[in-house]
Amino acid sequence: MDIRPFYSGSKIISGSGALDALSFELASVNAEKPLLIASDIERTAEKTVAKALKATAAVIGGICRLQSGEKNSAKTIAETFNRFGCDSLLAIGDADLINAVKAARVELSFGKAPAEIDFTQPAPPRRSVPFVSVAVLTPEIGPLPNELILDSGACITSPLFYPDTVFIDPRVTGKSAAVSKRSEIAAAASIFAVFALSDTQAHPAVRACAHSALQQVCEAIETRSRAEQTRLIANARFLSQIALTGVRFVPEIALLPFLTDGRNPTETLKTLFEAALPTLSFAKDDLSQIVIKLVPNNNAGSGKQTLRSEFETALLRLTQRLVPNSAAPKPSRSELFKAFEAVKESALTAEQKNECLKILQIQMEGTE
Amino acid sequence: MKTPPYFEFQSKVQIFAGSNSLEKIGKDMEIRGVSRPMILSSQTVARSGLLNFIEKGYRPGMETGVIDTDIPADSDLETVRRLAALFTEKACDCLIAVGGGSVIDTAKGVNIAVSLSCSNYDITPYAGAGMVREKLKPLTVVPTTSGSGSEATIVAVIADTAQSKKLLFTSPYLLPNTAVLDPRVTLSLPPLLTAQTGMDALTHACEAFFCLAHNPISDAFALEAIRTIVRYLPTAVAEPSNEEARLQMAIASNLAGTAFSNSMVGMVHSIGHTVGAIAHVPHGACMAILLPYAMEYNARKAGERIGALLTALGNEKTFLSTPKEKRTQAAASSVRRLNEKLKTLTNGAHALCFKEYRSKNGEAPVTQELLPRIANEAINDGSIFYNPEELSKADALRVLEAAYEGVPLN
Ligand SMILES: [Zn+2]
Repeated sequence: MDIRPFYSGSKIISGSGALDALSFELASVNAEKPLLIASDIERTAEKTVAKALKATAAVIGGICRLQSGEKNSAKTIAETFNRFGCDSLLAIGDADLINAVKAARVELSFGKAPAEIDFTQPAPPRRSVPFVSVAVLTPEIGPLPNELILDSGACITSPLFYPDTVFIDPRVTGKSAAVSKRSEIAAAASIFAVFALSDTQAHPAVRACAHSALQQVCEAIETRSRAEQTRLIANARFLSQIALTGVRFVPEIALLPFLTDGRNPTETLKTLFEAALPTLSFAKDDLSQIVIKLVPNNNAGSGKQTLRSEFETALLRLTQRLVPNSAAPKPSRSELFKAFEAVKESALTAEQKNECLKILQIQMEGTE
Repeated sequence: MKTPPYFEFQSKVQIFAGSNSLEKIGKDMEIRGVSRPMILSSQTVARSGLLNFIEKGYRPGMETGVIDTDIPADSDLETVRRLAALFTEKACDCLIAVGGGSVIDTAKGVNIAVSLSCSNYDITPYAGAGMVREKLKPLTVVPTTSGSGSEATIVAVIADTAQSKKLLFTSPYLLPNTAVLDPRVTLSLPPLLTAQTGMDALTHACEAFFCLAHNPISDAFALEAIRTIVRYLPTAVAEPSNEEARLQMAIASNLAGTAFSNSMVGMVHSIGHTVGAIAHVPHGACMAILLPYAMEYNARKAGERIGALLTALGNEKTFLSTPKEKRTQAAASSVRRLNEKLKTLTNGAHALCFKEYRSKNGEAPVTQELLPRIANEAINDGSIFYNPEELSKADALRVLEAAYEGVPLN
């Protein structure tokens, strides 16, 4: 009866008008002067957020614009924060930017860089720095909300990394730089959710988040309004990530950073997922719930197929619909071999490495 | 099941669930950088030796600052003040509440008093919505009944006995940091109480799902809770020492608590609160009796959602094989069947209708004469706000009369 711990550290505010609650949320945590940190490519989103703050007579303490892949961005954020005398962080941007804001927040609250802190027993922070984020659609796969990637590439986890609140507003998601990649993002969220469901030791709240994520994807597919569609996909992405924070190590996902050499990570994820699906175990309840979601008028489990095969067929059809097989070839043997070597040298534990290497081996066998 | 155009959801509580969860509190305290808890509990719990399991998990250098078990059934300002002074005197740095709603609410009150600037530990300036705006000291909660879900709420109710009023504190900072769901804690809960608190949890989940403030995340939490309750509640009642069933009920009650603290409850609670206040019937007993009637009553406005509960009260097959127009009634009937099962398992003690309900000393506290007064006051209860269908005094009376006799509404 060992059940994994569960924690979801962010409040989600989703909907048209979500941003109108921004100043109220900041006030509720005694924050009056947020530093707005935005990706250079998300200027439309930035303007929408600034307008929403202005409309409620809220103050912006300062603005810090970052270019994608910029070095030392955590330091830049912390310095700008101090220079303008800000009291909270408000982030709009992709995974890299959010990661930098997490690191800056640690630095501002603990007075030390994340690499210098033992997050299994950190001393209490010197001050609390509220952190809220406004979601844009972004196609990167990681890191998860409880993860922080250090400069060394090592990944550490802590409940301290979650944004306090995540705002999902169609006015922003619908104008995200990566809006054309929304199907891909929906596919990744669905795959994450299914991987989360395959951990039978996970807390049932994980199942709730995963099912809700899949439900949001199904609704998004049926939705005509692009803005609303992107909001539902952003909801699904958020939920599937929360679900994944509560499950076992998933080697197929851990492998992605080793296989993205010039290729689309979602396509790679899809390839690995398709290979893994028949080997994953699920609770029977989950199978029928998913079949009924994906094939609404089907009488789950009573057709010619078994429930399990109906389930797999429905899922493969979904990912295929969202990410049609492209011309991009599957990872080549030499690419897989390169990943194999890189995994061996990585910071993963011995057990995790083994799980990853096994998958690479199976993929390599398939390339002959 | 369309996602509403706007919703909010949060469940920022670290959850440890499993057979040896009490021992994990020490590790959690280490991560939070604290080492000297004040433990609030009841004498029964202290006598049972459960607190030893918590201390067994302490890391080197950790020590219980003080244990206090003198907590009234309704938390009040006086107790909060006394305990806050004790907290300071014993140099504690965090709180652990092992108990039911009043112990948990008292701990929340003490936490306000010791974490924020309160002259003479007076927390009244923080009463109301959103007045607590800063992080408080770490609070760990171990619920000892699987039902109320208070470990998942942002609310604390503390009585101001001098002014004879109840103060309501709501703030996201009142959410406990950690909830510990350990089956050993509920093993001694008697079958009837297990049935009643379990039906309270079922009502939280069902109302969260079909009342007006539902959202796609609380829906998923609610459905997960309902599935688990239907599956494990009868076992927990029939075999009190079944650890698996106890654990699953604790988990389900927590999921349901999370669902309703995000989506609110409705008329089952409005009428139930009033029956409880006027006739002193336990909360869970009222919930068990009233739930199927509320499902029938709300059929016109929320029939589709109530019908969708069939996927969890039964399964996907039951849902699909039941014609659309019969699903609401089928959902209400499943709840009635569960109640009947619980009645058999408790040798008739679990009441199906108010006429049947007997207090410990064998009296029937709900009489037909009381029903108009209950109906009159029920429509002023705050929970009515989120009920799908309007409820007039006459409507409430109609529901109460049916629930008194045990005759379905339709
Ligand atoms: Zn209740």
